[in-house]
Order: sequence, then structure tokens, then C-alpha cells
Amino acid sequence: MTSVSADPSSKRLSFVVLSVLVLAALIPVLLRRPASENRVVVYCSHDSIFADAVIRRFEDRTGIEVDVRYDEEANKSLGLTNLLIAERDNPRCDVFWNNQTLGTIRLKEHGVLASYSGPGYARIPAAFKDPDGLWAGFAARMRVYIINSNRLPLPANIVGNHAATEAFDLEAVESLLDGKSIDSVAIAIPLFGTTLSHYSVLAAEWGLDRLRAWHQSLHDRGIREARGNGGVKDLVAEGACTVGFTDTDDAFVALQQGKPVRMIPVRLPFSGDAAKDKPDRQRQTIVIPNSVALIAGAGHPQNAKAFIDFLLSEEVELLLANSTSRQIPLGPVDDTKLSDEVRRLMNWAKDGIPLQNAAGENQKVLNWLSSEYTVQ
Amino acid sequence: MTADDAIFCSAVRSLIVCVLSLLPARLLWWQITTSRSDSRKACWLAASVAPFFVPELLTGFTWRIVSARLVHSDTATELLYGLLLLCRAVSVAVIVMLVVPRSGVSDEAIHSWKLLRAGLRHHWKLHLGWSVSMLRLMVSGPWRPFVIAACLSGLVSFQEFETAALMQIDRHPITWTVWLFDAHAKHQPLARSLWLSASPLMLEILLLLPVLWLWSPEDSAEQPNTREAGLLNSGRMPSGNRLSTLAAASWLVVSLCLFLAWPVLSNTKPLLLGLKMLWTATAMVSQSLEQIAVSLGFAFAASVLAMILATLILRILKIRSNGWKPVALLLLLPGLLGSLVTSIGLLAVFQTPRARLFYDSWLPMLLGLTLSILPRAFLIVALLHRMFDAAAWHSAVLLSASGDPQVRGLGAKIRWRLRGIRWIAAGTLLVHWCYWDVTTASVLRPVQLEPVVTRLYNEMHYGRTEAVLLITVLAAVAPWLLGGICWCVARLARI
Repeated sequence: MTSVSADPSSKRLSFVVLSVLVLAALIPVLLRRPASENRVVVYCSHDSIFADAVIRRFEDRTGIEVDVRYDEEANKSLGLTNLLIAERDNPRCDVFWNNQTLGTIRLKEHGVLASYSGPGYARIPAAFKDPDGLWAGFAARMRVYIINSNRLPLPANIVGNHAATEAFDLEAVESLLDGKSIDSVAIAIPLFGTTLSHYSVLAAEWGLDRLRAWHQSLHDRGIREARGNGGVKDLVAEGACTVGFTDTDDAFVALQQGKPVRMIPVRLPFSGDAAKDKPDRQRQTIVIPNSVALIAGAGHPQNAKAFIDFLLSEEVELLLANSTSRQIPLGPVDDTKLSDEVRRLMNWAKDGIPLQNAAGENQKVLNWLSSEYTVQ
Repeated sequence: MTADDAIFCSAVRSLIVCVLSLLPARLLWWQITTSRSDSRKACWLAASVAPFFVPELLTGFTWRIVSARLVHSDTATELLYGLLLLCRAVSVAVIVMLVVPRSGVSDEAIHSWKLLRAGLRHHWKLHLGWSVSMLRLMVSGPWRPFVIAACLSGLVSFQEFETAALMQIDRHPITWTVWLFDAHAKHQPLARSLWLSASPLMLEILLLLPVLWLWSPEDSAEQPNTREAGLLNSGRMPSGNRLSTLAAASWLVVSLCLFLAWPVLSNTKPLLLGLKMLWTATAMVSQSLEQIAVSLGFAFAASVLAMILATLILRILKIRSNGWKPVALLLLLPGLLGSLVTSIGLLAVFQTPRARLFYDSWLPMLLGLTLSILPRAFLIVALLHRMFDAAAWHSAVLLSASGDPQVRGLGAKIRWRLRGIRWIAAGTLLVHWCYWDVTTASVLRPVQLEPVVTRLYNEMHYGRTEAVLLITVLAAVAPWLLGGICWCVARLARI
């Protein structure tokens, strides 16, 4: 091969290549908005199609620019909470908007959060916020059983009767879950997201040993495992499974797509003596609020506080309640502005289990599941 | 399941896929190289390589519902995933067979060697030596394209992540890449992940060694492997030509149905509704275009950087007693470890006090993309250098220096064919890979710049909505549009 370095065309090629490189490297710089002090950096694990509307409204209202970094659905646990811990000594994030609560509580334990108890914090009930003001919950989802209506049809005489439908579904689902084979039931891998929260709640209620036995029993009887709640929704909506454990927002996506599904809240499956001892707790549901927190050492603390107050306002709770994901308001709201579906969810949410105990179990559950799923 | 189980399953699957890919690839390669008309050749070529250019992310997204329907049969899920991998592997093998240099071992040499065998029947030691030499002769001769194609298609299959992650239910299909992702998700330390990546890395190096050996710079420059085209021109047609055409066409029908027809047909209605939004949802379209520009900027810069680095590494490796050789080879390692480990490693580096200044800048993502793509850039650049015909280039340079404008034009045209178009094609391929790398983008992107691929990945959660499909179409068309513009600019500049 001859050397091409002496060739003038080769020099021209090098010049073109270098020019292209410089231009290409400049594209991100040119597209980047000039750094403004009137901004706030938000890490958001709530789904972008819903969070965008809230963020744009905040920008229009206050003139504060929001630089938002979203989490990726299949990447939830790997993403923002880990990133915030990694950035702890040099934070670039001002506000963390988490789509659940236990991950935020984990950040509190790592010293990532700062206290803020503004007017937004004041309107949230004590059960859904940190007593020291390190985080506050709002706009919740709920763990539900999503049911394929074709595979588990309702008797004609109870169609349209919510109470009778719920009773029928609960009995049918519990009977299915007690069966020898449950290969038509789906759940997400509990290493991630709200399924991990669900397991943590169960660990707090039952103890880790009983949870382990239950988990083992599910697997022995052939439960199907998807990589996320969206996958569970697909399995049931497509008729591959009859029932799945998922969240309200995923179930509503399936309903919006016209899939033959319905849902009922997950009620903790007490059995035997435990059921006799705690008959009133039989009705408990698992409510998982969004949570918002100020990051310690935030670069824009005033704007961050304004954003937190905005998120915790009635306006945002109503906005999220009336979005496709039907988030359940936790603070006081004008319920005439809510749909029937959300009012029904609010009724279920009244039976919600407090999450404080579950937070204490979260790390233990994660450690156990880690050894279970990624044996090395 | 242990890491070893996952690696074993991935390795076995890749082995099966790479072996199976050779026959269809050979049939397609034959059709491409023996087509008499340019348009027919272009059609065969485009259809053969198309599956390789459909991003893994989109393939997984499209097939996840089918995978859900197959949940009651692990075998069916594995077969579907294996088939998708096989189609991609065939495309890789076709590309390799088309560009790999022609064998330096002549038919006469092999024939002569075969004649020697007769006298060695009663001397088993000599016979063994003869067999080993024959094997070497065949591997570096007529089998060379197959060996290289098998190794590279095996490598591509072994590294696959996105399709498996999106299709996976009940831990099927079993892949080590998804296993490693899950291990990270449960907060595994980086050092542990690096340690766990060691075994897959060894396997990848094992796959790369034959490729590097068979493309060693000591070989003389050769033309691409188009010997059969010469046979055709000389009037010698192989037997069963119609049957092989039928088989090749059948394979293409299956492959194109899986990668193009099914995704389009199963999404036609929302796709049309999505395209309507081009005129109605202007805010979303302009936001998407901005994100596409960000992605393209990063992908473009990373690809050019990777090609420059690959050229430097190649030059360093060619100098026999160069102390920089280990450093040059070390640069290739992060890419072989995969995007996830590379990105998380870089994240840790840019969190150190000295590098913290650049943390929330475009630098980590650019570096991450460059390092992730570098091994592939190195192979491509090595290939381009092997294909470079110095004598033809010298003639073209002489023609370009002519006083006659017509001859000068001819010289420029030849130079374009010899170098310009090849480098543009290679660059476009690298841009395509960087552009769709969701892992690096999601870990290392600066807050203020959102690449379109992370946005798309997030939105995919909501299924086949019109908006997702619109962004998908925009994102899929943009790199090719850019490639076309570069092609026109380069033509005008007569590179």
C-alpha cells in the first residue's frame, strides 16, 4: 500500500473530516440552551408523556426553565436513584420527582435529600410525607390485578354493578391464585419499580420468611414473569394470561387501547388464622404515591422549592388525576372536578397501607431478591 | 440462573446462529455477485443487508407482543429470538463475504497439495502433518470468507441486548447481556460487573482472533471476494442455479417479512394516524427534530472520532516494534465489554474530582459512544485499508493531474469509487450504530440534551401510539437523510 499522506487530495480529505468533526461536535453545543440562573434541574422517573404537561405548565406560570432528565421504563432502578447516589458529592440535580416512594426513602438514608416543608408539603396528609420534610408524596397509583375479560367473563347479571363485579373478581382471582397451576397469572420481576415496593409491603406485613415462601410457591406453580408492569399489561391484554399484578396507570393504558381488560385492587391475601385475627385488614390496598424531594446541595434551591410547591399543589394533583394515567389525589381537592373512575380509585385508596414499615424492609427484600435472581 | 448459565446459553445460541447463517449468506452472496445488471445487483444487496439496519430496539418493540403471546412455550420464544438473530447474522455474513479480500491461495496450490496425499497413506505422522497443512490452506484460502463471516456474525449475536430485553418473559430468551443489566440494577459494584464481563470478553476475543489473523497486514492487498463473478463472465455457470435463486429469494421473503413487512403491517393504522400528526402536532415534531439533531450530532462526531482513532490504532499495530501497541489494543477493550459497562465506568470516571468539571457536558457521552463503537470502527477501517488498491489509486491520481478536463474528471470519478464512497458508507454505518445506542445515551447524556433514542424508549412503554410511531419514523429516516446529504456533498467535493 502506498502512503497517501503526501497526496494533496489526502490533505483535503483530512481537512474535510476535521471540519465535519468540529461541526458535529458543535451541534450539541449550539442546540444547548444558554445556561440560565433562572432554571431548575429535575430528575423525573414519572412517565414523560404525563410529566411533560406539568413541567410545561410550571414553566409558563413562573418563567423558570426546567431541564428535565427522565428515567427509561426498562431501566428504572438502574437510572435515577443510583445516579443521584453517584452524584451525591457533586449534585447537578435540584429536585427528584420519583414515581414511587420507597426509592426516595432510600435516598434519605444515603443523605442525598434536604429538608423543605413549604405550603405544598402542608396540604399533604401526614401518612404520605416524611415528618422531617425530606420528601412528600402526591398523586398516587395503586397495585391492581388486571384481568382479561374474555378469559374471565363476568356473569351477565352483575355487569354494571361495581360492588358485585369487584366481589366476583376478587373471589375469582384468589381462587386462581390458590390453584395448583398459575401459569395464566403474570407478575413483573420484583427487582424493579413498584413490584419491588409491593414485595416490601408484603415483607412488612408478613415478615421476610413468609414472603419468601409465597414467592417460591408462585414460582413452583408456574407464574409468568415479565420485565416490567407494561409487560404484564401486554400479557393480559393480549390474552396470553388471565390475570396480572400491575399498576393502575398500566391498566388504564390497556383500557384506552380498547383491550378487553378490567381491574380490581390487590388485597393482601391473608389466609387461615391471620385472616381471622385481622378481618378489617383484609380490605387493605397498596397505594404507591409519587414523591418529590429537594436535593442536598442543589444549585438552584429557590427555584427547586417553587417547583416542589407546584407539584404538591391541588392544581397538579387534579391535572394528573384527569390525565390518562388517572393518578389518585392524596391532598384535599375539589372532587367535582374528578371523573367517576378516579373517585372509585379514591375509595379504594382509603384502605391504603402506610408505607413507612415497608421502607424499612426495602433493602432486605432487595438483598434477598438479588441473590435469588442474579446468582453469581 | 447463574452468570455462567446465561453466558453458556448465549454462546451456544450464537454458535448455532453463526453456523446456520453461512448457507443463506452464501446463497445471497452468490446472487449479488453474479447478477448481470446493476439494478438487479442493488436490489439483492439492499434486501440482503436490510435486517442489519433495522435497529435492535425497534425489532424488540415490534416483536414483544408476539413474544407475550408465546409465553406458554419457552422453546417458541427462544426460536423466535433465534430466528431474528439469524436474519441479522445472515446480513452480517453477506456484508463480510462481499468485502473480505479474495483468497491468496490459488486453486492450483490446493490441487497440488491434494496430489501429495497419495504418497502419504502408510505414514500416519506425515499424513497428519499433511492434514493440518491442508486445513491451514483451506482456512486461509477458500474457507476464509466463511470463517470471518461466521466469527463476526457470532460476535454480533453474542452481544445483542435490546431485542432480548424487550422480548424477555420468564427469563427467556436467556442472554448474558440482560443478566448483567439486572445485576447492575440491583446496585452491583462496577468492579464486580467488570469481573463478570471477563468471561464474555474472552469469548469475544476468541471470535475476533481468527478475523485479525486472516486479515493480517502481512498479506498482500487483494480484491474483494468476487471470484465467482469472474466464473460467470467466463461462461461457467454452477449447477442448480435456479434452485439456489429460489432458495435465496425464499430466505429474503422470510427475512423481510420479519424485519419490515410485519412491523409495518401490524402498525399501519396508528402509523398513518401518526403521519397525519406531522401537520397537527407541530410542537412535538419540532421537539423531536431537535432531539434527532442532538442524536445525529453525537453519533456523527463519535463516528468520525472512532474512525480517526481506528486508523491510528491500525498504523500503530503495523509498526512491528512499537511500544504503543498495548495501549492501542487497550482502547479496543471498553467497546468489547459492551455499552453498559463502558458507560457506567465512564460515569464513575467523570465523578472523580479532576474530571468533574466535564461531568454535565457533552464530553462523557461523546467519549462513551466513541469507545463503544471503536472495535467495530477498527474492523471497518482495517477492512477499508485491505480493500484499498494502491496501484489503481496511483493511476487515478495521475489521471487527476492531467491537463485534459475530461481525463481529470475521469480521475476524480475513479478516486471517488476507490475511496470516497467506501468511507462514506462506513461512516454512515457507524453513525447508525451510535445513533441507536440507547444504553450509552441514557447513562451519560447531559441534562440539557436529550437524544431521540432515550425519548423513544421511554414512550415505547405506552405501546403503539401514533406519537411513538411518528417519532420512530422521523428518527429512522433522519440518519439516512444525513448520509444522503454527505454523499452529495462528498461527490461535489470530488473526494
